[in-house]
Amino acid sequence: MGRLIGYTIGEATPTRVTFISKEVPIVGQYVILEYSNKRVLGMIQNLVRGSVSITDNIHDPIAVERIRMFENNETHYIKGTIKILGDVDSLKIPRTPPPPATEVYEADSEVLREIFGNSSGTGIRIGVLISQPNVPVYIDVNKMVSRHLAILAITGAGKSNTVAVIADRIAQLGGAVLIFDMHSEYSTAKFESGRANVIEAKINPTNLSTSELLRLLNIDQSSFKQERYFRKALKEAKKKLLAGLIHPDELLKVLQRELERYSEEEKYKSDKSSIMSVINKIEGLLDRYESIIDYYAPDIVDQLKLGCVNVVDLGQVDEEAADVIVSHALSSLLISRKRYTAGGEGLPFPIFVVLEEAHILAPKDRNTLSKYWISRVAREGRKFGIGLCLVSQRPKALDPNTLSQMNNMIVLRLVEPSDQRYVQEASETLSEDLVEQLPSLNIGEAVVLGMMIKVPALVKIDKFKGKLIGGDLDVVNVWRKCSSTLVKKVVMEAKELDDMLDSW
Amino acid sequence: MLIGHISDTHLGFRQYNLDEREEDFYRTYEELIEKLIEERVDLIVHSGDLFESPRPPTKALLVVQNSVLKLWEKNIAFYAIPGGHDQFKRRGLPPHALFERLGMKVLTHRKPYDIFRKGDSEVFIAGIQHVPKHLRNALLGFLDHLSNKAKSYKKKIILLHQSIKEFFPIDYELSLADLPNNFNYYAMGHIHKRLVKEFGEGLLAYSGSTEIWNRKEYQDYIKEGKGAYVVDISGDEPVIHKIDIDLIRPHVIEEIEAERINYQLNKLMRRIKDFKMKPIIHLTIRGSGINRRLIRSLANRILSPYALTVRLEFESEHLTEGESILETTSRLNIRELMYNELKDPRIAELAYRLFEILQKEDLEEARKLVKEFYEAGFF
Repeated sequence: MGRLIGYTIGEATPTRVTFISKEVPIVGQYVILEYSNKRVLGMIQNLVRGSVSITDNIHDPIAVERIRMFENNETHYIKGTIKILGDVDSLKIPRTPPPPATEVYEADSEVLREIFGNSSGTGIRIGVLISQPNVPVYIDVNKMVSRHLAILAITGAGKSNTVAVIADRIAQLGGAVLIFDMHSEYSTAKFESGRANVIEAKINPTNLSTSELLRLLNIDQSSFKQERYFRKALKEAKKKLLAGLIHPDELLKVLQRELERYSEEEKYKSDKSSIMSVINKIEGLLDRYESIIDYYAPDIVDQLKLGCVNVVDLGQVDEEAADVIVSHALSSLLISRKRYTAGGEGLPFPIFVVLEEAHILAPKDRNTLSKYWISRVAREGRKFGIGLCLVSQRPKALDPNTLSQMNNMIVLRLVEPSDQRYVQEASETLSEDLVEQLPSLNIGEAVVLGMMIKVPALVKIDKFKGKLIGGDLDVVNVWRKCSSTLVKKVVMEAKELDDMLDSW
Repeated sequence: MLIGHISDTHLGFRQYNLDEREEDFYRTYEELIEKLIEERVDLIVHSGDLFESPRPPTKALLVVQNSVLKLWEKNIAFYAIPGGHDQFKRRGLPPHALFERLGMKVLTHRKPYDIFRKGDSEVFIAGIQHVPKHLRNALLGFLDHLSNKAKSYKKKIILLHQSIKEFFPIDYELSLADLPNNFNYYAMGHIHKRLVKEFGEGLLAYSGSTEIWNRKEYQDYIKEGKGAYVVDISGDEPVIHKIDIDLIRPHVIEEIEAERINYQLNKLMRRIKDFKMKPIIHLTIRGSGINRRLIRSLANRILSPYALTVRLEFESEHLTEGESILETTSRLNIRELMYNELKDPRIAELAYRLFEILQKEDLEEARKLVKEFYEAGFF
């Protein structure tokens, strides 16, 4: 047990108690109280420091000066509230409040190490407790991947650092992470293992769904005539493509020719302007996306690597294209994982997908293609091993339904009260007390909560390039098993291949 | 360092069961070898399907023997990999084994690379026989291994006989993402169209077939020609140019209306009369109430003196234009169905071709096809 720092006073509830102290503890510090035959863990929520003689109703500075001469340590006090988190062993909150004058001890590192450590074996280290930097904090990867994560903070509070730390450590465990990198931050970053797999952001029109193409072309639902003709022409062009009559890279040109043909036909005369505007939009698309259209670009899903931070660099593309690339990737990921879990061909390993600038991809006030797929993956991903991590500096612009699916949160500094309220509403676990801490956090400090951690914690996130860690984990085990079954498959198939050919 | 790249020569293929067609394949192969010698290439790589079947006719073996000996005399190395057509499905020796002692280097999974040295320069040459789709993981394993082996060499090329999803989405074993990315030239075979794309540390190219193996290739031949590639890998970026075969037997693909059959056949006859080489004629006859026997004999009488063979297809009139689109869709679906049902793409292809031929009640052609298929050793 640590040092005695004070005693409880006043009326207490099972979850909250006031205490006074002679020491100067810090907010967020863990304390231990002993009552009902249990050792109970609490966290200091807020602190007031005052003096019995220098009170609020002194109005003369000279008076203060005089009193100061008689002041000593004895007239000073520190008062604060403790949020009771539960008994040390089971983290269950006792049903009785602590009696008055219960001794308040500093929680010793041993106990905290136990709670925040990697006891389940399925954790990665993300940092240390702010109050006790000698206690490392681990988060449970299984629960992070299956219950999703939101990382929220104002710009410059350390979001990217947090993403990099998490991604790198998952990769070091042999897992797979896919980051949609909106600002080309990670594609140039050096991961500790150096295993970043940079995937070019390409649009392959032959792979895109019709709604994805419509979005790229800016044909919205109100332009139903344009949509009609586009769909008709696309069907023709795809038919030709499938029959092998045209090369994939001719798809859009053939489409355009098809539309030109319609525009000359008598029966479509009344819709000529609609047809022409589709043609214009196709030409516009070809110009706008010239650098990222690649008819032979492999699907992102085919390029993912296990044990790697996979990074799709979206730094060079605009919002529409980013939306299309992300939604296409998410949909094919989900389909591929579903197919694989059903015993078919597909992505054989679970994956943790990081979406930066989530408020652009899944905004509150309008529909995007990604929004649909993000919410589907949020709902269904758990079953198929796709975890989401939404990163945003404008939580209140983020779709609330999507945000509420993120059962884990890492909230760094958030200053704006409306943002704070919004985050609190979306999360069941973020209490008012913790919200109050948010503006006072320094760079790299965060409130970490959700199922991935046993009790909410104020954490100083490790600086990217931190120490190597490891462990035997579940999601991680699947990843590992995956690579070993792959090895077995390779060996078996190689044998069969060998059987095809006699030696000479 | 100049490399000649050829592929899919399908020697011994006897299209329409015609001597001339078998000879055509030998002739274009021999012509290409001559041309590559004239180009002063240092080595020739063949990316699979050298022969049409794993049991080629003796003539085909002889043609290859001659070419191997000729290249040996000229001090030009010859690397080859077995393709999908010229290796057995289970246990067996590919015909390539006959030529190793004569200087041909055959790359397979057992010996998947070789270092070619000439003067001061050396090239890492990797290659593996065609690997069917269900053994894809093994192929990926070998590719990974080869990619690592290649690292210590400055110039490296790889020979593969595989279809790639991004080029041929209907049936493929690999995606571009699966290919190692550290080679300077990817000498590909299997797809019969010509294709060049920047990839890895240089170029990826399908040199295509050297004859019209299937009439569907004719369009691509008109656009791209047929033949080989010559690649110079001495510089930082490989430089590639086409070697075209001078004369490929022409195919004439026409639609003819039954009502004007006489006029149109005669017009066609005047067009082909002066062709240097007798063409293969594919006619689709449209019209209602067609007397097939009459049209067959008429077409043969008018065109035979100037054509190698006349292939007829009949399409009845009552299909309007709109419906004919529908028909293509249903055809596609049937093909897909067969692929899904029969799994093995070759058997599915056989089933589909039989389906097409038997629709036209062409029993003779069907018999020929089955025989070809059987002889190719697919069973």
